[in-house]
Amino acid sequence: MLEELLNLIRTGGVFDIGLLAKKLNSSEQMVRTMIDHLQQMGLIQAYQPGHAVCAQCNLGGNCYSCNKGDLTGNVRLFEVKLLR
Amino acid sequence: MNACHSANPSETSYSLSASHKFPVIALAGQPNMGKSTIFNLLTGLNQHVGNWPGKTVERREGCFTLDGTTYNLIDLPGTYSLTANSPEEEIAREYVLREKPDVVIVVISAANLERSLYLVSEIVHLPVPVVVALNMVDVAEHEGMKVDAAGLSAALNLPVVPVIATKAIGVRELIRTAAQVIQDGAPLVPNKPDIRQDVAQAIQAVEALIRPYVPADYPADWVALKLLEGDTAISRMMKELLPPETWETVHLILRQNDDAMVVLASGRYNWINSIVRSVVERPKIGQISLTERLDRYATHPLWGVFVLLGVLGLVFFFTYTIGAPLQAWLNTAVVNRLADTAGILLASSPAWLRSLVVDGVIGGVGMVITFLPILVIFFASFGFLEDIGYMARAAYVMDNIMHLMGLHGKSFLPLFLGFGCNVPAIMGTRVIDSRSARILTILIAPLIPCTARMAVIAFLAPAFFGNRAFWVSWGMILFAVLVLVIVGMLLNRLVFKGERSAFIMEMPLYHIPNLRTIGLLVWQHTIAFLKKAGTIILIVSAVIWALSYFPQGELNSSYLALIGKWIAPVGSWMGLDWRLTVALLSSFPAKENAIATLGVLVGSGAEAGLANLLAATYSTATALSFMVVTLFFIPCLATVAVIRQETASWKWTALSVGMFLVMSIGVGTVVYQIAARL
Repeated sequence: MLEELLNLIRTGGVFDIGLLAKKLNSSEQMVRTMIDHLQQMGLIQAYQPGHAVCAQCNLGGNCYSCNKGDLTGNVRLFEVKLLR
Repeated sequence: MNACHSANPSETSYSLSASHKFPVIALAGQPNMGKSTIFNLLTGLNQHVGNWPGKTVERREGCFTLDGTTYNLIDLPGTYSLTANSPEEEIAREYVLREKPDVVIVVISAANLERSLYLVSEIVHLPVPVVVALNMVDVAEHEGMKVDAAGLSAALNLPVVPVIATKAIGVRELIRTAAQVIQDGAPLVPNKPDIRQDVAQAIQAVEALIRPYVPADYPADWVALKLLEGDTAISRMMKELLPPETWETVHLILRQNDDAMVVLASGRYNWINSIVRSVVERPKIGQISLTERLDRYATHPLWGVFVLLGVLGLVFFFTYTIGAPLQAWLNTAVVNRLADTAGILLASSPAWLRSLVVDGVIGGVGMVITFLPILVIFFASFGFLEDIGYMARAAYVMDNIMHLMGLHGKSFLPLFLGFGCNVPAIMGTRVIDSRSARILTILIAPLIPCTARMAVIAFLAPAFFGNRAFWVSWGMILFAVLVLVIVGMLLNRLVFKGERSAFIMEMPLYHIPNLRTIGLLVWQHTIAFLKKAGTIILIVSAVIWALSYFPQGELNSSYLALIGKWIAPVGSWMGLDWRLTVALLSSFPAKENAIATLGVLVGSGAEAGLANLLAATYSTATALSFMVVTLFFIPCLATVAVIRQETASWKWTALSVGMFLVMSIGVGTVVYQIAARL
């Protein structure tokens, strides 16, 4: 199943966890678990623009994007590191 | 459960030393599965807390008596797996392998079987009797899930006891089941995950090579499996134990099967998935179902685009139906009256001072402040869309389109961040490893219409186009996105050369918006906007006024007119007179300055109001051209500063500014020339 997930994301693009769960005929919980596993393996990396970017920004995190909660709160974003 | 003597654990070994005369139960589990709750419940005050030998990881052990038998209980550190990724994981597996407890109770969460069964999938490979404590049954039920404990037991071929540790429900039954396993003596044969044929053969080959050298405490097949998984501690141990030529052969097999780590984990997840599917019944009601239903359209590759267009249209609709009349009222009732009052109060003052206050400050800053209702509605609309969970989907749908067109996936981040402000969009390009790809993404990021530019468009559209404003502003955003896609496609072809990249995102569930959150967002932005109006916009307004007043106190012979007329030929290609051209230039420090400058130069104090004056003064072709040029003009000063910071190059910064200048003039000219002929 982890291999199937990797094969899916290796095609490139942005993938929603819900959609991945459907394609893998599994649950979102399972996909989340596998994503955490891939993160531990170093194959993907969590991306938190709110923390990483806004803190160093000239605007001091006062812009519209940095203020919106979705960026750091509700949306988890992962960058896939290895696309073979 | 009676109290019993608590043994003092050895400081040098994993064993329980003196207390090992009692049956030993080890509690294993991932963090936050309720393991410690069970431990505390059973041992009460009869527990000892120390450190594991040579580690700073807490070691907790104790004893308890149930049904006349005393047991030693050891609380193993919380571990996600048995691969030595952390000291906790190494301690847990070393304890189980070397001390061989009489039974291991693996505590799993009924509310998150997918995650917690992974440890079970590993522990079943160890030569130790296992009992599964299915904890948090109440949490699972509260979430509408039903977990079939008997089915789980059959699937695992292990005893499974439902438990609610926080309420002490099922704990006695759990210990009695463990006691039964200890008493029966015969080890159970749990079901194990399948291993892909080629990897299974590799494990056998490695096992055959290492068997004579594997320490007695370790099962050779498990050591072979861990070697293929790339377990560093086991690899280090076997490298020391094996003769160099055997290690070379083993190492060759490992290299030939470098994907075994993923294959083995994949097999475990297949095993977990099939178990979960057979024993867990999930609800199909409420929020999740609503999200799924809405997302059938909102994230659909085709319908999602129409939903996005509809949503953007609605934002503009609300902005124009509510914001524009309020803006007009503010202009008439506040700005004009203020200008009249200031004119009366300063009647005896020097003409330049009166003009500075009335035309410069009130005409510029005042005009921008009338802009506030439009901005408030804009921020409230986007805050609402974010809070209900839609904005992440909007970015996802946009990326789908771009991906279909072959755009590089890493453009997603700037896109995701850029709708708010181009500054974080440019900072977001840090995820791109290649410098050339990163620089080119930085160059295109300001093409994404930020809220400041969209708000300026939202102000200008009704001023120029009246009832048609909705369609015009909608078309503007579409046009900006189209240009972004075209540039992105060129970028992909020329720079990224088809290289693929991927992101995984977890979108929030749709939910009822929190009015306080939205209110706070609107409040923060209103304050920030007013601060901007009181500082940068005030300064620019004063400078524009001074340049438009001196030397003779008359606009047409002013320094600004001189400058404006000097650059007017370029503006004339786009159908812009010198005042519109100057308004464009003044938008460099902050986009909103375009409005302030028009207020100063065209005149907001007039009874007709700026909107009516603009509509009466300029043709449709000029208006369209001005809006398009505004959309593609040089990014604001903050964005240019961050481009310099991120590229660490004045050359690239200058190129970016030059590119947008040329692009805006080019697009503006084309739009004007076409519109003028229609």
